[in-house]
Order: sequence, then C-alpha cells, then structure tokens
Amino acid sequence: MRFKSDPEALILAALADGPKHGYGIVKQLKDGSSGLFKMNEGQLYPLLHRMQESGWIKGEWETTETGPARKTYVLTESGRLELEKRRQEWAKFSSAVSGVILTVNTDPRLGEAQRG
Amino acid sequence: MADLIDAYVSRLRFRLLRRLPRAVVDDHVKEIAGHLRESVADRIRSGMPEHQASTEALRSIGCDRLVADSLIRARTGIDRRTTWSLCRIAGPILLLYGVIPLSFFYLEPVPEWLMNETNWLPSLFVITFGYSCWRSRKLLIGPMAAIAALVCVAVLTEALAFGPMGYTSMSRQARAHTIAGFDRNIGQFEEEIEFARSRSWTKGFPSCLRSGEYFLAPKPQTVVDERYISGVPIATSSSRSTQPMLMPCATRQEAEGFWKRYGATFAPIIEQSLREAKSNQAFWRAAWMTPHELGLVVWRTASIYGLILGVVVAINIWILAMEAAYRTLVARLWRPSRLVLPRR
Repeated sequence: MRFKSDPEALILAALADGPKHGYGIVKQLKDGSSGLFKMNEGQLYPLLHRMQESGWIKGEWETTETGPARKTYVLTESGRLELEKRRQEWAKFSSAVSGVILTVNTDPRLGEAQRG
Repeated sequence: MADLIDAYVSRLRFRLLRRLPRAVVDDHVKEIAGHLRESVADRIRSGMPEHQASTEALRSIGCDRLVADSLIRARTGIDRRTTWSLCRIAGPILLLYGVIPLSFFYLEPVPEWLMNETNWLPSLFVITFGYSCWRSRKLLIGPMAAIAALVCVAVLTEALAFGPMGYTSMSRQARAHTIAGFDRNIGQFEEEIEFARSRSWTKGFPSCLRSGEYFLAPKPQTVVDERYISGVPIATSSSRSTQPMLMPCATRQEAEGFWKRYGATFAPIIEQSLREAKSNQAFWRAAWMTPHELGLVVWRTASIYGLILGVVVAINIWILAMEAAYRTLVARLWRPSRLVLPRR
C-alpha cells in the first residue's frame, strides 16, 4: 500500500475511547490494525507535543500505585472535532479510492471472458 | 538490563539539555523512560528474556540522537525548511548590500544620504544571520554561501553587461560617458593652466574657476598628514607641507591677487592633474575587460563576500560555542537518578 497514513488522525482515534499514555497509544494502534501500523515510537512524542500545541490533546502527569508517575493524554473538545473532520475526510478518500481500484477492470482478457 | 535503558536515557538527556530548557528536558525524559520501562515489561510478560526485551524496546524507539533531534525540532520549530526560510530575511539584505552600489551608476546625482544609509547593511546581515543560526542551533553555511554566490553572480553580471568595462552597448555608452567626463576635466585643466601662466587678465575670470558666487584661487594651506585608526581620523605630525590649494575667495580682485602671487607655483600641480586625466582618458578609451581583468574582478568580488561570510561564520561559531559550553556544563553538573525495572 503506497498511500500515506495520517499519524495525527490515528493518535486522535486511539485517544477517542479514553485517556492513554504514550506506550498505550502505540499498543492500541498496533493491536487495532492487527500489526499493520507499527508507529516509530521515537516520533510519537514530538507528534504528541505538536498536537498539544494545537490544542487537540491535553497531557497530565498521573501517579500510579504500581510504579512511578506517567503522563497520560486525553482528547479535548477541539481534538474531537478534528477527529470527526479527519474521519469524514478519510471516508470520502477511501470511498473514492475504492471506487477506482475495486471496480475498474484493467485486464482486457477478463473483460472478454465476462462478455463471452 | 536496566543499565541499557539508563544509558539510553542518560544520553538522550545530555543531548536535549544542550538545546532545550531543563524543565522541558525533565518532562520528556521522564515520559520516555516510563515508555521504555512499560515496553520492556510488556515484552518480558510475553516471555522474552530481559536482555532481548531491553534491546528490542530500544530498537523500537530508535536511536537517541534521532529522538533528540525530533524533540528539539518539535520544541523549537526548526527543521531544514525553516532554516532556509530564516535565511530569507538575511538574503535580501545581502542582496541589497551588493546591488545598491551598482545602482549608483544610474542615479545621478547620487544622493549622499543613500550612500550613508547603506553603511549599516553589513551589520544587519551579520545580526540576522547570527539570529538564524542561533534559532536553528547550527551553522547555516549552505544558505549563506548560496546567497553570497547569488550576489557575486549579480555583481559580475552587472559588471559585464552594464559596467563601463563590459561587453554590451550599455557598457560602451557608460564608457563614452566616462571619457566625456575626462574630456571636460582636461579642457578645464588646460584653461586653468593658461590662466595661471598668463600675465594679463583681460580675458576675464574663467568660468571653470567660479563656484557660485565665489572665485577659486590658489591659497597656501598647511596640509597635515592624516591617518585613520578604526575609522577615527588621527592627525600626525610626521609630515607637514604647505602647498597652494584652490580655495574660494569672496571677490574677483582677491582671487586675481592670489593667482598673481601663486599662479606660477600652482601651475605644475594642475599640469600633474592634467597628465593623470589624460592617462585615465587613454585607459578608458582602450578599456575592455580582458580575461585576466575579468579574473581579477571575480577574485575581488568573491574575496569581499568571502570575507563577509568568514566574519559571519566566525561570529556564529562563537555564539553557538558559548551556548553549547553553557548547556554542556548544565548537563554535566546534573546527575540522573537510577531507574529500577519492576520485578517479575
């Protein structure tokens, strides 16, 4: 597949069902995509910082009972709106791509067989 | 295997501390350390040996240098595109500095305020590029050299296409204009010499020796050998000479009196100026940029901009070195706390 992914949209979607920390986001993306998306974990935190700057997510340090504190991210209202917008864009894009890739027949021999 | 994670986090912290404020670095490093700890713990729970879990977790997050660079870019907003965009501020300044003097050929008379106002352009160029380098935290040699090369090309193109020693019709016109100027000067000098050696004043005071309401005449002046140190004129007593110089007189009678007294001694000075003017006229009549002269122009232009570039690079090296030394000192003085992996 040569279509570029939108890592920000994926992170927003990962946070849609509740707050998560960085490693939790990576795990959700990997599990949700059946292992197809393996985000470069080193690029995750710069992305999270940029998304915080944009106001889509908010990060807070939380203390845990089992170990040291960890930073958890939660979706903001503008983040939800942005996620919705990107979902619609993706639906439109994937529908358009599917309309071309899945229906156009490029093999003339197959067309003859179908007509025959 | 906590050592592997510790070492990684320590190196990451060191790289970040050299570029970012300490509070920001603490936040990032704590978060990434927690990420690594969870990643390792997850892998151990899935049955992986501890050493392999640590190695894989580190491989998964990536090299500490790349992670640090990404975080620095995210925090400072500087990447390769923005470094070039920062140079867009300094680029036009350097271009102006190189191009404005060229326009002096076509502006007559050249406004003095314009010539004075361009003196600050090189300083502004240095300051702007210094700021760009500091913002990007690296020497922008590529962009600076590209802009300097662009200005060199502009200067050389102007010299060849429009300059008086160039090869086009505009150059020939400029040359003719220069030669006409020398022709006028030669005519004036010859008139002055004739007036200086003449014993009769019946022809009237020459127009070339009039300056508005005043009459120019040779008056003896004490010439002090002036030297300049850092742009400040310092008068020295190493050589003093008294020689007549053309000075304004209020009345014609006063001027004629000075001419009678000093005309004979002043005439050789005018003759010397006449010889120089004739020599320059002969030069410009034959002027044509030979390959050797073209090479000299290229060398001189490149030297000037190379010098400016060198000064800018030197200043920026100093700025970045000072900042790197400061942050390295901060990084060395701060000791990271030891991380402990959860027991199985």
